[in-house]
Amino acid sequence: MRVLVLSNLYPPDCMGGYEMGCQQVAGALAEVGHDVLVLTSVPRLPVAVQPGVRRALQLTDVYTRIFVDRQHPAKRVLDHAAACWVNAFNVHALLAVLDEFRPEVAYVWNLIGLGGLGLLGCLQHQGIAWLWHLMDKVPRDLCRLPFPGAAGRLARAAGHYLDGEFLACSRRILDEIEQDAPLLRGEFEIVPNWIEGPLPPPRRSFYRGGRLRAVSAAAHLCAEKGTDLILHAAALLRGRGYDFTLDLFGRLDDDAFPRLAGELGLAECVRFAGSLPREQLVERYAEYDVFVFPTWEREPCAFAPVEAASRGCVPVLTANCGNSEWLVHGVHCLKAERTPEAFAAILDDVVAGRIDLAPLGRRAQALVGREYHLRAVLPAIERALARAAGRRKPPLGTAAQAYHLAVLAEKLTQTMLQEVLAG
Amino acid sequence: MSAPRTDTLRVACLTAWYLTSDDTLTPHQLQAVAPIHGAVGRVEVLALGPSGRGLDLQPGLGLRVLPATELGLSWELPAALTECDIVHLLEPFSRAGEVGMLLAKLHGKPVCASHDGTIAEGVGVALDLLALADAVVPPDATPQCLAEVYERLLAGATEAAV
Repeated sequence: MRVLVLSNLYPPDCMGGYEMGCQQVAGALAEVGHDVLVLTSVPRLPVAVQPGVRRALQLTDVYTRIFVDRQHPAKRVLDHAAACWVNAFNVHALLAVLDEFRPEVAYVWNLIGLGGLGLLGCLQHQGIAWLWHLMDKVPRDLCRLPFPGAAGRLARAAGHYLDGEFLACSRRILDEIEQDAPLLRGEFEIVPNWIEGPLPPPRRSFYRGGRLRAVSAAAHLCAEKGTDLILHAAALLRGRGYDFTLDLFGRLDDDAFPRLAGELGLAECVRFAGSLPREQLVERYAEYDVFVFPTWEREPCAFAPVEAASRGCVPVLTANCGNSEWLVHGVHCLKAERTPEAFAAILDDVVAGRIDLAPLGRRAQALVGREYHLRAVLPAIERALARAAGRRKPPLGTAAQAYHLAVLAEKLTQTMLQEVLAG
Repeated sequence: MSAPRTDTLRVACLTAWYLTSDDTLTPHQLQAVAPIHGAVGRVEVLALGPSGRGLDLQPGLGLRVLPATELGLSWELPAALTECDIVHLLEPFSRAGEVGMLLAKLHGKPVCASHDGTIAEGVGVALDLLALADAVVPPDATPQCLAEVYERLLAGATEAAV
């Protein structure tokens, strides 16, 4: 199949798991013989040229806090429209690639920043079938209006147009996307997030008392991923006199968490270890007993706990996050309510010997290696792509008309927003 | 000369008219949609108002008032355009006409626009909106003329869908 991958960012220019997952699947599809072209944005900082990757789209950066926070509110509203609704420049670039590459299917990832609704509208106008891999509530975010009291209106309207196939990493993310309005028309399938690369032999050494080695990781250490909550849980354990270390991998925005760790008296047992390349980090998980992940309930399904489990490092998760749909409490993982007390209680049980990590670690490693490895997930993705490709329709008009419509949509939205802003 | 496809063809006639709660169409407005109604069996006139409502004006001629936003549009417009075979824009350079063109083309609906050649201004004029229409007719086009245009548009749409 000729597969056009569309993603706002693409490694090495990336923010987290969504783009890395995109890169892994694009690579795996190419390896098994598909003709894959990635269309993504011009990098935010220089990166090397990569074969099969076209960095031609314009990214409206609505993510980088340091820039967004300093924007004039009016600019922020207009940028939201360019990032989520339509960017005619990007539609033009997409049309050029469609003409040249002639994909059988578009494999869509995160479109925030690219004028995502416009790109989807262009694909549909040109009769290109698409499969959207959902690892976050991107469709809902694309339909967000930058004004209060309008939840669901644009989603309900867009729901009349978005007709494709969907893959989602958890049931939770689908429910969240459709919370305000029905938005996803078409077939969807839930597939787990995965690990990739060679698997190590089964782990033999597990925690048998003494110092507990805990780890947590995220691309960006933040409150949403539960970084403050981990520190408070650690403080509770420390207060009970337990012996443990906690390594936290990931980027920090500022010194708030290290300062908090200091204030909680955790300087000796907590280490902020910075960011590591994913491949190195995955190998490091074998050195830890538990992966502590008190992430927010709306976590779609993070890669890090799956990767930790692949090394026999037992995930300790927020009970109702997306990852918890794929692992069973007391079988492959441990789940807790998202409070420092609940996480401390679970770790207390481990340290006190009331929970034996060995069988959990063994089963988690076996499950992930068998069912959540990319090579096991890829056939489902290929089937979904083939199914989507079968939905190809005749174009609704020429490429020139598609671009004309994009310009009309862009100018209308920008004009109307400015009218609203002007009061 | 072809006969009008009176029974099966459904035309959504999108206007920028704003009707208050008790309004129905004025004689002038009825006169504006009469040729379209004369050309096909089923016409739904889409207008804006303070709240949504619908009523039958004559056999085969309905009025659907969509709840308007302060921008002179309605969030219900996308849904209102899904059921018709052809979208007829009575005032293509109004905001409703501009957005109607966009939504109709995204639905793959053939669009016929009435225009008397008056030079106007606005986003649609600046962006040559009428170039996106499948047909442009004068406001005083006869039912027979419109029937032929619609039939041609529908044949084109059918051809594209095969």
